[in-house]
Amino acid sequence: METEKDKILEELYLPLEDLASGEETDKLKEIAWHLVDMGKAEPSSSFQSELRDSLLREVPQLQAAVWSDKFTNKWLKQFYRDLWGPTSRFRSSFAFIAATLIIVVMAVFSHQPADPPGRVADPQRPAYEEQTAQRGIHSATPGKISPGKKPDSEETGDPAAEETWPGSPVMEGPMGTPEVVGPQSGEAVFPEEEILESGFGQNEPPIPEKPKFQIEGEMRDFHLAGAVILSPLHVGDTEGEKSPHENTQAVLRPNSKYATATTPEREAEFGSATWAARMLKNEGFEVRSGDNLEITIQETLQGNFAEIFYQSGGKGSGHPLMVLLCKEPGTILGYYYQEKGSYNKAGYYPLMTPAQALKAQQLTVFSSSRPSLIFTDVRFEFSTFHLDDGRTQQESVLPAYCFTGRETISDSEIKICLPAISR
Amino acid sequence: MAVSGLGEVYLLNEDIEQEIVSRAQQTPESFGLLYDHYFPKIYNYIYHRVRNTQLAEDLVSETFYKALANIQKFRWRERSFASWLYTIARNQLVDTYRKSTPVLLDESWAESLPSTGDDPEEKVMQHSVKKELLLLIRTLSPDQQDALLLRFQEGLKIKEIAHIMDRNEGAVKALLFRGLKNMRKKMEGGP
Repeated sequence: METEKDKILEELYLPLEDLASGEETDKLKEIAWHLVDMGKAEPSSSFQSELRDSLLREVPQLQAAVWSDKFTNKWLKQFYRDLWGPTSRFRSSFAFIAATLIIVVMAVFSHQPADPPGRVADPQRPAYEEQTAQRGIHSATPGKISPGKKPDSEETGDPAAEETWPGSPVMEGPMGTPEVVGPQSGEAVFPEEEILESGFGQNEPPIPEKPKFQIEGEMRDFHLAGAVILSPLHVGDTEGEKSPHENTQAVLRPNSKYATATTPEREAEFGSATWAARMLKNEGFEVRSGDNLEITIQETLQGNFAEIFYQSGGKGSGHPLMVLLCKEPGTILGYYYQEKGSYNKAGYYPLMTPAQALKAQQLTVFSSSRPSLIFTDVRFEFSTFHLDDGRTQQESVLPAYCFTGRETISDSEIKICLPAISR
Repeated sequence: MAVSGLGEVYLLNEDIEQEIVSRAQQTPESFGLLYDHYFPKIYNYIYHRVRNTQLAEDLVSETFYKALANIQKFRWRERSFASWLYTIARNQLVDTYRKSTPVLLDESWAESLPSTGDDPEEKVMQHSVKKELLLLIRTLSPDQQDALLLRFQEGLKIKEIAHIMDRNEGAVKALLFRGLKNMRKKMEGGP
């Protein structure tokens, strides 16, 4: 008959039986049984109850900590500590200011006819709820979100940018120029009801008439010190047997083309990382793991706009940062790149599109037959070119599109780098 | 659901435990129920690992303070609340041994060993064997000690032990097997 000991051992030891032979298993089970039967350590009852009491005394502090943890943003935590911490220097000042504000607000509201809460006073502006319903583009990936930060209105000079919802998230673009965006999912979201009840919705800035891009303040023009001299390409046969073909036509045909506004199921949400990657892919740029891709979006009366900041290899790669200005659903308004001052004056410079860059250059290809060049992939990099000013030649590092493709007749792989700057 | 006050034994099935944990996450006062249930288990595990009352009490206190402070972060996914709590306890032990603080073993622990049966001679034998086992278990590697105690003293499942020790289940089985085998060798007078 199976004893209780056997049952316990069966349950505890079963998974090990495949590791030992029958006789050994029995001996090991005996030792295991001694461990099971060893008895439990007896704590002193006073320790158990004292610890229990001590833990429960900690609960109020822990609850306060949990409450403050909800504001996971470090800035808010620091602010909270600064105001209410035991070493706070601002505690009394804050209490005085808060009391004064309450009195002033009460005095003002007691003398004004009240609007329905959350309704915008200006009849020409839709109510906050309607505005938020009309929006739908609040996500922007993967910018940094920080709560309550005001845009640099002095620098932009945009009065519309001077107001924002207290506590509303602000998206910092790669240049650190903050852009106000609407409520979105994330850490610093304040429920709409709270905003409405507190009347904050009344301070919402009107939708601007036209877009104001982050890069606009630092736009520059490029001036080359001479004409770019491109080395000839050699395709197929050995060099001696080829004949040169000047002004060879080359085309860019990216492997995939994505619709930006055809059928809903094929669309990616405007402003999302997927949408931006598709936009880039359509231009020949393959966004890979490790690349830096940031998007800022803004809505205007003229429509919704996005700036795509793309840097292959990530921020530390040394590759230049490319900026695409886009309009919903998928129109590219301009190509730019950020010069940090290494090769030219810092700022944003206009670029050609990759397709324009291919057309603009006069390629000379040595080949036994007239070549047909089709490129599928593009990388945006710095590349060294020879410049000829009519008297001397010099080397210059320029932002370039480096194309990869094939010559169709000989099926040779071709790689060329062409200047990307627009002059 | 048989839930009672301090010191009394009660059982928790998974659903009830989830409910209590969820309640404790919202109102930490409810943590008391979890404490009552798990205190003897955690104390037993830690005590058998350190064999020193003062140190065991310190580590048990630390374990429950950390559990209370972090209970908001606990999520029911692959692991049970028990394995989460034992993981905290084990981390306390690992930290203690990492500091290499010399620990004096209590002399009294062997006296309190239980023995069953009516025959006085058998009782003496049992007592002697258990005392030897307890001494032997301390000669094993910390991982083997953990695996054996968690399995045979605490009755945890292999999967739970794997979570606690951050190992796969096969590795835990191997630790148990090697631990028992080493103990047998040593009992037979081996190195």
